[in-house]
Amino acid sequence: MLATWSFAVTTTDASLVSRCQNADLTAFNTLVSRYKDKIYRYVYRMTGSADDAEDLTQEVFVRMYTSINGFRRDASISTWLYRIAGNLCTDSFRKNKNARFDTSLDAPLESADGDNAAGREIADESNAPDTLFGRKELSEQIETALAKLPPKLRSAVILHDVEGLAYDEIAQTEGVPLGTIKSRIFNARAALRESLKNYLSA
Amino acid sequence: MNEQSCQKIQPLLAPFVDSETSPQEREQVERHLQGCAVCQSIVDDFAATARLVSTLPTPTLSAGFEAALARRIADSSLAPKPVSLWNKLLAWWEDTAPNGVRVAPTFAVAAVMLLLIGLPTTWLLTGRNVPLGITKQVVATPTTDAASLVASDPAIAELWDEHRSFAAAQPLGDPAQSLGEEN
Repeated sequence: MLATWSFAVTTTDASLVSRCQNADLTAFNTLVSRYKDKIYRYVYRMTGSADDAEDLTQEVFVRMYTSINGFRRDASISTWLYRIAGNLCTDSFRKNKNARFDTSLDAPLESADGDNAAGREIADESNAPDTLFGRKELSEQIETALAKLPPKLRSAVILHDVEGLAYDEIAQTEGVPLGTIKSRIFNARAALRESLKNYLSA
Repeated sequence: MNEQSCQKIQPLLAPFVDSETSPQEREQVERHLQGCAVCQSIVDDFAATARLVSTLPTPTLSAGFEAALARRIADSSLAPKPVSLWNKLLAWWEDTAPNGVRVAPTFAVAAVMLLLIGLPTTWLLTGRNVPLGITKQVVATPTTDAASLVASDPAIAELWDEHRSFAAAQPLGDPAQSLGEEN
């Protein structure tokens, strides 16, 4: 049942790609609605900024449309889209070296003396449930820990833990050997273990 | 457990947590973990970091995303570009080349280009009768003969004699003393 379903999805993707190659906008829109949330989630976790992520996600699909004739059918369309997205993120980091998390909706707001202003505001709200605050704080800590990782390690760990890609799919996306992905994920986990040590037993 | 066996096993710990090891590797790690609390704690922490990252809330795109994208795509200047000759060549190379060579198509093309351009150029520059890489042997000769130069001008002849004289070969004395003598 599952095999039949996944086969059907694959063939549909292939036929959508073929139609897209002939500038069929309906096929393009179907591909967009199928993959937009995944690509946005990946780019959002890479950049940490909702606005940047939305712009970059648009750019990913514009590139998909204009370069669809260069798409090699030996990879899946999602792998190809993650690859375009990863490259665009890298370009954006290069252009805007210190912008990461500048406009993040989730990053903690720090005042000049290093006090966590956002955390303090929420903590003062007596009617906010403790669990909600705890979860928000934890998410912020995880995002900050991810932000500290070099982009290549961050990408590998997000593609695995958030997007659910297998190591060989990540290797195909990043265009590197499987061994490189193993060591990137090992290094990413070791760094996250250090940054998040206070939250690991929870 | 000794440190050496931990060092050997640790690169396998992330693949172990993510179920990306071969059955043999899995067995090797499991055997190691039975006697190593340090590596077991790394495995537990790695699994916990994976769990934490996967629990991050899913962000949602704004409602107008698809409409905005459709407007951009509808712009007549945007249309699927035809595949470039270079991409066709790359695709052909990746389909036909053996595995080992496939990884570096750019280097392969560069090497062929170098041969195509380099060989005829070397051949033209070195002369057609000379084997590649070997230039004609030329014996270096001075442009002017010293003896004829000395003979051509009495002033040069005088300087030449002075230069070759016994006095010129003597070590220099104390310059202050020689000045004093002159005075």
